[in-house]
Amino acid sequence: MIFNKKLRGMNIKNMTIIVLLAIFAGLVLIKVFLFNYTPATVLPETGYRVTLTMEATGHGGEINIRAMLPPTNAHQEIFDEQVLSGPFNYSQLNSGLNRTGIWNQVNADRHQEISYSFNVISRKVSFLLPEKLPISSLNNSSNQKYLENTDLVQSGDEELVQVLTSLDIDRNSDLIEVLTKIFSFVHNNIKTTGFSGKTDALTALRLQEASCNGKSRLMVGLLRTLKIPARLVGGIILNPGTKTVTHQWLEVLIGDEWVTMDPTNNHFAEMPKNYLITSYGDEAFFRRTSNVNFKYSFSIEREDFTRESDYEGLAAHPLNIMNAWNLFQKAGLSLSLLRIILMIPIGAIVTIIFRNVIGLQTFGTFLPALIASSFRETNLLWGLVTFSMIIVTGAIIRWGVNRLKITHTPKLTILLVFVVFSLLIISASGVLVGNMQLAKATLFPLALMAITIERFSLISEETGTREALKIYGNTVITVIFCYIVITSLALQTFVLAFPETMLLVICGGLYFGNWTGMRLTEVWRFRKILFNE
Amino acid sequence: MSKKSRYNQILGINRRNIDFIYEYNERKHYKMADDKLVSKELLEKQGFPTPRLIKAYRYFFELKNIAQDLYGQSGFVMKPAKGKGGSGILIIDEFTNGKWITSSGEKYSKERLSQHASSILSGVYSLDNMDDALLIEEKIQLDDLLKKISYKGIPDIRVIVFKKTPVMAMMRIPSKRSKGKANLHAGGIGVGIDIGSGITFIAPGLSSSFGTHPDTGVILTGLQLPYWSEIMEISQKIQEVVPLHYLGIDFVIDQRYGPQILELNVRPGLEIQNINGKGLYRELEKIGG
Repeated sequence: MIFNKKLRGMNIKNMTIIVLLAIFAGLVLIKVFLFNYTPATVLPETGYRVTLTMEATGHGGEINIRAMLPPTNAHQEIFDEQVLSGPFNYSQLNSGLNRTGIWNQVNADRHQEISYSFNVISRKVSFLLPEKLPISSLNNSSNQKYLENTDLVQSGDEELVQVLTSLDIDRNSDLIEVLTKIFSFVHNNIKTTGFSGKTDALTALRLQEASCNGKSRLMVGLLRTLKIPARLVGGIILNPGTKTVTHQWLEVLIGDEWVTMDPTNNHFAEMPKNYLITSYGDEAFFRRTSNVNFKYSFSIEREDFTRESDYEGLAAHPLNIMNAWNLFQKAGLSLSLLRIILMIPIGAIVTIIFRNVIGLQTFGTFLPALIASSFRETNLLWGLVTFSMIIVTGAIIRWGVNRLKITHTPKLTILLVFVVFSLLIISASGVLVGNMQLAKATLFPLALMAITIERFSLISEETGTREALKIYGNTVITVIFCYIVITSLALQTFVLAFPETMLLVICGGLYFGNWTGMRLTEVWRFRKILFNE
Repeated sequence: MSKKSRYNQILGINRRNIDFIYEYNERKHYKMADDKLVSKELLEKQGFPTPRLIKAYRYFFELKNIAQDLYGQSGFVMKPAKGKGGSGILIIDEFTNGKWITSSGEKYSKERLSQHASSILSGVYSLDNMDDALLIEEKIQLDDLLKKISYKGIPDIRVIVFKKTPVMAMMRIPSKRSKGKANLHAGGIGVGIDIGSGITFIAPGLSSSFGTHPDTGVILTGLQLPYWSEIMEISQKIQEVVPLHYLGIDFVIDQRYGPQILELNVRPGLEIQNINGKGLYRELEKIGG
């Protein structure tokens, strides 16, 4: 009992921490049990950002390009579509389940670029097939379209009938058995190759090898021969990266449900999460004027999305915080702004850990958290570039201003003018070179930059430029960590759903504010005492 | 000794702030240390030795006459009351041809001196960048022994006092690298002082080149500092007047007047532990609450 007074103080702090933790837990439980908060409604979902870039070089004539646009359905939700058509006229055609984007230009005589991008959140779908159902009992009278014999899907052809006979299948066979046998036949007996061009069902069968198109058409042909309605589905497999390959699979109509089958990649009655449907039916992804030089590629990035529509499904109780956010939104405040505001205290906790536990001295107490939150506009790299440029050039200006021996506030005012102009110049350069991240640098906290320049310069003057650069480095490290935490969408949406997380921040403040342990950097500083014998 | 118990000996910055500065020093008393003018007036009134205050300037209108006031004078120091890290301090050695000459050889005209004075008053060198006051003090005449060991500048003696008990002490000696400053961060040389005897030592494990002064070549260990018992006596008594119970006291030794209190420090640095080769916390714990 050395420090009695302090012990009492600590008990009050510990009690406060326990009470706050209890309130936090209570509020979370109320929301989960009373207002139906679930991870699915609150946390972000992983999806993809897909960009289709098309390049065409014309020679004076007309160029017409059509591409299939992905539909929204039970498997996939398409949102935030953006079309940059350049000199092309863009129109969209909806027919049946399909959407087609049409780009047209009358006198195309140059290299042109079109970009179409969208976000997609998709989910895996697994289908349950009815057991002990003879295929003869499937109702198919109204689906002539899906039983058709076409040039590429020669249903009813003798060769296909022979296959079915060899598989010991007829109209009285059980549905699951029929599907399994046909699927296995196409999957195992037809070798998958990378043919480009159109392979019809019979060719695939005769060659015993085909690409996804041929295999899917063969399976559709076999099914239709048995009078089971089936259709081809076109799409893209979403894996992060750049690709030009599209994919084709098929769907079987069982009752009212279209069941997915992909004999190429062995997905039986299931639709993987990363399958993107772009068209139904035997559609080519592109149709275009033939005499142009045409190139395209899909670039796919994985991205987390929150769907504000999900929040609306939560309880309409006045205590439900999501309703309060909706109110803010009606007032024109975006959820993303709210999220970042709520993340600043969390960033401050990161800063506390870096300062008091790790022992990295930074410029300003909460500067790293605030700087990191402003990087949200520019992204980390360009944010750091801008920040560094301003601090270094600012320090030079400050050096000049300081020779005039003027006091603090007027000096900061002059630096502020410099910061404003630098940010405007940086933004303008960003616009000029087409770097939109850099262009957003104007949103940096101006006064903070001026104060940082002043601190940098003071330290540089008093303890040397080396020390100032060291602290600058520490600040950058802390900013990077703050940025990672602040921009974590999972954390953001969690805090948005449970703003009582701020109570945990207070607990963190109380805990670290009372923490007397040695800082990590002090272990190094006092290493001679600690480790010398 | 186990590593764990070694950890517990050292005073880290978190513990210093929470368990000592916040615990034993009230913020309202900080100015008794942070403001050299307040501190000096208080100490002088209570009979503690400090460099003689020639004049203090608090307001701009008083500065009008500063060049007149100091004209022809030398052997004084001009310093900001709340200056930090020794910034803004002018040591005037000579006065010739109507100009003041500093210890580093710079010449100050009437105008330049007045300008420097007004910079100090407007807070250019101040801890909090707020308005400041200006002190004109009599210049220290350094004790012979200390003069011999130092490279220019003035070595000072730092004593950490906790609840009227001196806990640890060190001497900071200017070097070529520190440009005549005693500041350790600036490259001044730190030497441990045995608190009981006032004899200097180099902590075991510290670089052996520190056994002698790199610029003067003088041996820095085993020196008996003069007036040590007076320094200890002052250190023990000071907290009867200044209610800051965890305090760093900086002394200089004047040839004529003996030990002088140069300044008080509410947040004394932790490097003294490396200089002494031992942790402060163990020593503080012995004193207890």
